[in-house]
Amino acid sequence: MKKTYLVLVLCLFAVSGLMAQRTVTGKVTDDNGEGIPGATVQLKGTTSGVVTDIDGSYTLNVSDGDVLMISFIGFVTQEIDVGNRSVIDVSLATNFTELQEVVVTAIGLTAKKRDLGYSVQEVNSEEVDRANEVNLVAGLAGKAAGVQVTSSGGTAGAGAQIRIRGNSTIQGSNSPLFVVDGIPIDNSTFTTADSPEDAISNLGSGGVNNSNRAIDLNPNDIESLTVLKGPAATALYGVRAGNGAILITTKRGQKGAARINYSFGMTFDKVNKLPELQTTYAQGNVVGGVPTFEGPMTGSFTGNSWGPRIDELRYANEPSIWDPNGLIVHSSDPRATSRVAKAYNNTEAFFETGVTANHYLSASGGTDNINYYISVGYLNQEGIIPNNTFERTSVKATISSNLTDKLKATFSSNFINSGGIKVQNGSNTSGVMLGLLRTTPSFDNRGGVNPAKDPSAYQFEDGTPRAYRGQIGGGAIYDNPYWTVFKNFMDDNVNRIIGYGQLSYEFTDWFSLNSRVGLDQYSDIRKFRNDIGSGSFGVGQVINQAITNTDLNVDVYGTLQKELSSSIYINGTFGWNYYDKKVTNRREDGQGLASRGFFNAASAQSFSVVERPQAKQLYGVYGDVRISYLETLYLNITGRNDWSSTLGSANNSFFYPAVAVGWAFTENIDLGSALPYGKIRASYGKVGNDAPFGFTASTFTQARVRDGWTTPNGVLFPALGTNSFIPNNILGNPELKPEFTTTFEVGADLKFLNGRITTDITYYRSLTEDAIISVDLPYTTGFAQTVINAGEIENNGIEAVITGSVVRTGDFDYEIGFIFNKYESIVNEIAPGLDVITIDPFGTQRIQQGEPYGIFFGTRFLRDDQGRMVIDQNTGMPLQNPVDGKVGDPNPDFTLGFRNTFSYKNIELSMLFDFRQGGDVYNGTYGVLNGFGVGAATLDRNDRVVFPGVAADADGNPTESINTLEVVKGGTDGGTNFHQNYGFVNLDELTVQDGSWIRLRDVNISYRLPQSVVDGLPFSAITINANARNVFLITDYTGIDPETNLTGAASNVFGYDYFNNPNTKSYGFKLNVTL
Amino acid sequence: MKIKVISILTCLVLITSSCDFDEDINVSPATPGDVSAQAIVPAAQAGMAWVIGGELVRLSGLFTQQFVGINAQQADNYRYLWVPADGDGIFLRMFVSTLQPLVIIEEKATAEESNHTSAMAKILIAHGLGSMTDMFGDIPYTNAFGARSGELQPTYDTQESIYQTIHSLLDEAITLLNGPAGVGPALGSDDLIYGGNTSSWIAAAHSLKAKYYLRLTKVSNTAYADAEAELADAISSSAGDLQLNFGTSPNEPNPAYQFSQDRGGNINIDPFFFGMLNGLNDPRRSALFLTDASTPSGYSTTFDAGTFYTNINAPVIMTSYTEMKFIEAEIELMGNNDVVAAQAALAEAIGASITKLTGANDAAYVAANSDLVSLADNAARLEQIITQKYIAMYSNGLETWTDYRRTGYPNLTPNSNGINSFNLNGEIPRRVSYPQTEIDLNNANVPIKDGNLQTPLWWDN
Repeated sequence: MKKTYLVLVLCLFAVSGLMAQRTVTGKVTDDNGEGIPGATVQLKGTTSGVVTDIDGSYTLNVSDGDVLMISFIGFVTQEIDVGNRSVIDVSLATNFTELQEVVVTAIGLTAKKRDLGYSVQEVNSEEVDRANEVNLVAGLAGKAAGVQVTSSGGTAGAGAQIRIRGNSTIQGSNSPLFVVDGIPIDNSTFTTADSPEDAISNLGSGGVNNSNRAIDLNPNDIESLTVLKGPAATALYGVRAGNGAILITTKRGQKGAARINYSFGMTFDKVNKLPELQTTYAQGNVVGGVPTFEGPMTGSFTGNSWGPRIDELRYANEPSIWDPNGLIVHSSDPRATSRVAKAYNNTEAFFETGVTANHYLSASGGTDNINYYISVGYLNQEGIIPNNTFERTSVKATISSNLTDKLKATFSSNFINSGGIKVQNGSNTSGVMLGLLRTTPSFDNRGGVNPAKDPSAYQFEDGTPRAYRGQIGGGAIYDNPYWTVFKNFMDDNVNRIIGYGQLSYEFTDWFSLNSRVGLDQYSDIRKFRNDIGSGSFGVGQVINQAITNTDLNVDVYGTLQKELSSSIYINGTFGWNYYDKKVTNRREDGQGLASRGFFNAASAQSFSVVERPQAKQLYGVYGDVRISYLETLYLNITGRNDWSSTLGSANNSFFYPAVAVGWAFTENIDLGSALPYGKIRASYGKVGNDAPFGFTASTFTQARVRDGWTTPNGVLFPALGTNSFIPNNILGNPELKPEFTTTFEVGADLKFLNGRITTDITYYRSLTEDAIISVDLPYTTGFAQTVINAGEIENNGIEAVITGSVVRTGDFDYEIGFIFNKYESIVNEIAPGLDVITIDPFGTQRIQQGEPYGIFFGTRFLRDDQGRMVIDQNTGMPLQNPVDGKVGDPNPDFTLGFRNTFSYKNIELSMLFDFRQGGDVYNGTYGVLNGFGVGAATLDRNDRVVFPGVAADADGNPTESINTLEVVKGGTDGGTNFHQNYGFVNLDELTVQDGSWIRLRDVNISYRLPQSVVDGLPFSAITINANARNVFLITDYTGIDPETNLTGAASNVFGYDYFNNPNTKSYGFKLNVTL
Repeated sequence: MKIKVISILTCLVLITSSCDFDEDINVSPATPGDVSAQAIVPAAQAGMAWVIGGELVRLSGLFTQQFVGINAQQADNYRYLWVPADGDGIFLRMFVSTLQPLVIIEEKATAEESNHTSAMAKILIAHGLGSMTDMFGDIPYTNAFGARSGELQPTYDTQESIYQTIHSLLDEAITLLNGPAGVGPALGSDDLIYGGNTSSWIAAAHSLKAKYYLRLTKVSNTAYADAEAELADAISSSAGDLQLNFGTSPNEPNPAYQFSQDRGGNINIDPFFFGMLNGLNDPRRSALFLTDASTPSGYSTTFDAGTFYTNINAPVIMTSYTEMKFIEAEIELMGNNDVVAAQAALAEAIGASITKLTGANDAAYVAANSDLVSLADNAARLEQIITQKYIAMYSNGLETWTDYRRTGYPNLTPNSNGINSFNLNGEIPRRVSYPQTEIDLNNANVPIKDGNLQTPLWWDN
């Protein structure tokens, strides 16, 4: 190939040297005779050429034997022999093949996009590549309309939550179905929270950042990705795609010689945003109206930093085990030396530069009858938190073969090993951020040494913990974060096989029968540790957990495609589906370790063992018919019936249909080159959703007696010489029916200005009825929850994808793309007599009748009817409203992705800006840190303030007199402290903050080495890429990056930040070599 | 498997019919559909002990200055900041994890004629209701525990009728215990409290009746007489105390021990209580406080494992011989105006407490602190009795707070930071507000929806 090219070029040079040069002029027009500006007129086989002007005219130097190549996007390229002409006018034909973009739809079928009456969005491998995320799901952020992605933290191996068109269900998962080459795969998030109940309910507000299992997929293996949104698109997948589907098509071999490709990437991560902390005031409290230094060296366990200014403190010439610089005393103390106490920024010192190395090697090729694609990938990530790692090895092979003329077989197998060391998160006294952020600035968590090498930073010689709140009986109150990461981590090891076999038999040219059996099986072996002396588990703990998951998916389906007449074309699919899921989940919680660091079952003094298998079966039959008339009018009809084992036996069968129509109106109405192609479409569809596992029966469960302050610890039966059971606190419902979501969707696909601008706009409105809801019961009923069919949730929204070719010359192109997404989700009704469901672990986020899904509801200031705060005349503090109310809405007003791609010859630069307007985030971290006196907001502690508002009377009611009481805001004179006045997490009104942002989500520069350079090397192509992620972030949110969520990818909680691990920004490069 | 295939085929043919899956597919093998009453008893008893010995002890101790709250919600509760959500956990663990299992035990035991098991359940239900009503006031009972029959929003019974229910449950239990065991499985090793000893349960039932009659001294003229009538059959030695002993293994801890381990530093011994015992040179300090040679008293205010109530295997005491003797002392003084008899009962009460906690009596201390005769008037004598009871009832459920609300003793100075939106006068709370879950989910029935902590209970009027 290369040789031919060289010979050709040499010949052309030789020939051109003999020919006389002259000028040719002309005009390039479209079908309607209008000039096409910006079209390329090039001499074939050379790089010389020009671009047409505004009228479509051009002038070019030619020789007699030259061939002109005239091209423009959206038109068929033409070649014309120059001959001896001096004027060459060209009329270009509209290129419809380009408009006949093929997309992957349900069951792994392909369809022409123009044939579909519903919205489908593709994300190509380039986009996935540009994201440069380890977790495929995280890589979809900002890339597709109607898709929201939230990572649960910037730790290595952390999960990411994905939603298509908002949340529609209350109890069940709102996650879409992930399908790889037609095989639905598991995207569960199993938590090893510190109690098995948390793990089951998936709240897991403590524990570690767990992975969602789509993290096992190697993004490098992906050819393209299609997002199916409404029921019309997903109906064939049945209940499992009730929340939409992400269809992943992996790379396949092409006919030809073996193509070997190797890529290597390195990425460096830094923490991108941290809460602002004060470094002025020391640990301590206001004692008798005087801020006083208190801490472990004064025998205090206080967690607060309401002490004196650190620069008023001195080291004494007395040693202290808590500070290598010596005992800290006030400057007025006779022991004080002249050495001023140091202030530490523990948080900034804690985070490291994370490093990710990613290798990928693939070989592909094929003949007429067989093609193959084989790949090996290895990724090794070290997180920004010390000791946090993630590793993934994947091996994949896909082979297709035409066994006979009629019979085709495909076999694919993907083996993955993944896992690493995960660190603790969130609401637990061993959480990394909890201990780290609360640490007072007068205490050095590092103890003057490098904790990675010297454990004396976080433990004393006797092995007991060193932490800023001291220790009680050899146990920390809050763990030193270094103790947490080096001792109390979890490791997981996943071995997974995703494979399928497919046979297709073509009976006639219009009918074929296919069968496909897919298996997704993995084991996940975990060990979770809490060493002796840990804040959350003083006696030490080791949890061994083994999870296995087996998803078997069988499809048998026939496809037919036939031209019924010259104007009518029909395409149909009918099939049967069987899905069987089995999960085993065993864990042994060993309490009371024999010695420090001895994390083995043999070490534990007592055990509680839990074995919680789950199983589910689903059968479905389905049909899909697509009819097109004159390639102008399109009709799609789909139906499916499912039988699910998780529903009540009388109600487990359910049918749902969908219908979609499309009209390519430009076929009937000629709108010229301004709008060469336009299609409007509408669809109406229904999709069923079944219940989560195990809600149809009331049962008994092995008892665990404890309270909210001691969980997970307590009396865990068998104990006290006996075993015991109590009724499960969830009341079963044998009448459970499926819930249905009905979606109406209209949209248009338009291509303007000869296709330089394309738009794809969709409006949808969906209504979920008979929603399966886990309702909280008043505890006085004897149960905590039950599951019912009730409620109605409405989602409506607009999605738009607009791309434009701004500049298009031969060498320099500039393309832009917008992805706009706006939705509203309103809870119309919950259940008779019930208008609230709380969904978060702290009771602040709820689903409430008449409100958007997931509003924040909680404590707020008391205000009079003019909205003025009401000020208590004893304390001078604003009063809290005794009645809670709505304090925020986590649903964004809109999101906008703005992609800019510049290419100049072999260089391409691409940038994705990402805007989010609105979307409140619950910043529990902020409220708590201010209460502790470490938040930067508490620097106002000595300010004398008069809270604006009206005075309260003795009963706490507003009066008309304006408040004039002046107080010291932080109560440092012995008065009331505003930052502590409303309880531990402060007023929700203050902690719920606007999560709007503008960020540069990714930047990529890639450079393909010129052929002239490559030719001298034993490669056919070399590409070098430099990339960056989250380069900047602009937001008013005062915590970490507001793109965060406390609980796992499978939970329905969103916009929740409570000592979450922070997010990252990264810089990297990638080298891609093709043999 | 074959059957399944046929069933699948049937499903396909009868497209709209439902499909028969194996019944067990949707039930976790870990959670059986039914268990025996005896299998529930240990968890129900341990559950009761955990609520009373955990959250209730802390609440009572924080309000009556036996504990100081240093951190988190305990710091809030200490300065009388109690928001509705603070009560959710107590309602969950008492109604769902403890009383519902007891109700099921009672149903099953009655059906299969395990009469003494049924009686035991009634006694603990009565004490559970008593504990809840003494914190919150009106609570559901008649209409409660009805989720299985579709009752999802129980109405509330008045506190007065809850008190009637407590006594009728206890009376029914006493009748059952005095009768035959019945043909069902006997109460035996599943009973972690008394190992199936019926006479101990009878005494415990009378003791609880005495306790709950005495609560009504502000609203009932017969409170003293009613209580006195129970004392003859009540617990007659500390060996018969209604208490559950925990174990030494990490998975069978006492709730106060576990709190000290998991939430170390959230509470300490309050200076008021610490100072009171130091001032009295109280012999029980060695059992109630940790030692610390560096302090003047030789004791530490740190709340941690290692004391009578915070050892891993410490008991949770629900009612006791000590308490009976304090009740007797109060009755003799206030009901019978018999100072001498009151003094004798008080001496016995203090002696029983010291002996129970330290293993030996301290006659000099008892003599010095039980002297009622030489005090000026009955008010001073009552203060002496209740102040000593305040020491003896440390970590015994809600006793110190209920006695304070009933008698005004001991003489406490309210926390100077005790003013907030829910406690405008800054005094020690008279109740705690109903939990957020009830306000949200059973709003129509919750009798008081505001969070005012100064609204008195029925018996506190």
